[in-house]
Amino acid sequence: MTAFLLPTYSLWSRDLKHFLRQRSRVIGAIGQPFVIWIFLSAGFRHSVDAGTADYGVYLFPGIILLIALFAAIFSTISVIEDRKSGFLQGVLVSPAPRAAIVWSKMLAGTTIALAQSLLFLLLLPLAGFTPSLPGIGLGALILFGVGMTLTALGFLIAWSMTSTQGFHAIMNLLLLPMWLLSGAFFPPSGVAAWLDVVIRLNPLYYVNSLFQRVFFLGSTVALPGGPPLELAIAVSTGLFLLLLFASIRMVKRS
Amino acid sequence: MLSLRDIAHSYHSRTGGTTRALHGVSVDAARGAVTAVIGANGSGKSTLFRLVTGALPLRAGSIALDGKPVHGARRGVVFQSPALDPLLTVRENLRHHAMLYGIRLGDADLPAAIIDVLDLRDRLDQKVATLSGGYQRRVELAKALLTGPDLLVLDEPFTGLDVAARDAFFAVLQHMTVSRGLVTLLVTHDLAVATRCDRVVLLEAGTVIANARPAELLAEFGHTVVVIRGHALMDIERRIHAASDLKTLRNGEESLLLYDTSLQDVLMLVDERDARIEDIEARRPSLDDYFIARTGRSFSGDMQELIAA
Repeated sequence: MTAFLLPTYSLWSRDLKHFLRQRSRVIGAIGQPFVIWIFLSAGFRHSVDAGTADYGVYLFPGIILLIALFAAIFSTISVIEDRKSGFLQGVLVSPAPRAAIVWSKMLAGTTIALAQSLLFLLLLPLAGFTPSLPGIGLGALILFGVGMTLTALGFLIAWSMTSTQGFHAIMNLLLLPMWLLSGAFFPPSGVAAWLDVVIRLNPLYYVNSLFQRVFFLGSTVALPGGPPLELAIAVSTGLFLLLLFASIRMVKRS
Repeated sequence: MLSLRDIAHSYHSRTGGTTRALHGVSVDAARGAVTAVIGANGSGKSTLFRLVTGALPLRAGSIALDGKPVHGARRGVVFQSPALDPLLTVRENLRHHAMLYGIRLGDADLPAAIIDVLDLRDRLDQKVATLSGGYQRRVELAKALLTGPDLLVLDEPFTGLDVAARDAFFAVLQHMTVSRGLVTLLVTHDLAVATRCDRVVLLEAGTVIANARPAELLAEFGHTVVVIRGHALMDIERRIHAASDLKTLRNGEESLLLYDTSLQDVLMLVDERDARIEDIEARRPSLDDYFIARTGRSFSGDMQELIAA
């Protein structure tokens, strides 16, 4: 067990040190969701029908999802940097299990996402909404799963890439539309038929729906649209397991 | 003892082409000795390094340390390019690396013998990015030694070091190899260093063309090699052969080597005022002379072409 846990801890804690020692990254991580939430909620407040919720409140869990998404991008970009700098070669010839590389990266991205989300939650009173304690607890649990899933996806893409610019381009092309069409940005009801199909094919739609339901647990907020709960849980869990096994398999085979 | 037997490795391109990097390579490297692996660019030495370190899967042949498969052995590896984390301190780099090998190190557990001999004690809390190239290489070596390896494998560890730093680094490497009874495999293109190793393995086009102590390889050249540089040296070589039984080697068109001789003997055979002769020099034989004798071209010439390219 030590042969797996110690290397995982080593690589996880190294990633956290990297994050904390890059001041610009910390400032960006704290400031970016705040800025996006303020401007989007102010700009779309009267344009989007968010059911019974104020749009700023509706958007809040979506911004937390965005935090997890950005944390995943920045966490897994270090895979390419580590390969370029030569650090990764030292890890690959060590007796550390290859799965430890995947787990440590997923845990680091998720830890950063959870910490950022916790800070972001302090802004909730500004939105005039107080989540229930079970909502926060279950939300943290779901967010843990979301962070792991998105980091696994980022890892899967980053492992085979050599260019950080290319990785950014692919991640933006793939993940931002996934976020936009997940129901985080606007409710997925009442859209054009073709867009409805695209939304239903988007796995993040189910992940976001699950997170939103938990976030608003015990509140009077009624969300418009969304998949059945069982389907949201099944797709979210399936996606996490699929990406985890695909990442580990890819690292073991390389 | 590290035993490599009948190692072969080929690279396959996506277009279906195959490049044979190594074939029929068998080498023994003893404990407490530094074995240098030298060879020109493309000779297969990097492939051999990657196979021994486990960076490449072994498909043909066997690699064993003391009779057991090498993949189970504790290996210390120093790469040509840095494998350090520049944002972390020396101490953090060492600790994180040890954990990859399942070892948790406290402050008191950092092996003093390694830290002191590598002169890192005062730099433990310095970020690696702020260290000189020489000290970064020392940290690399400390990392490799930290986990108590039986086998130390180094790929061009002197890259970026000046001569003084290189010599100091090599002295530490030799000391550690002898004092800890390590099997040390040093992949290098630095012939001056290779000459000081206990054994030299010369690779050419993926095969071993020499495997002996440096002194054994250089024995046939005697104490002195005389080098004549100029042009149209074939004619001069013919005249030397007609007048003596001196052994000669030509390194391209511009350089003629006469070995196991002296400058005086050569000056009795050639006229140094000959317009075709630009320079005559007497020096100690080097591994480059051996390389020329076996391959017909200069090892250092290959390297200079590589650097120029």
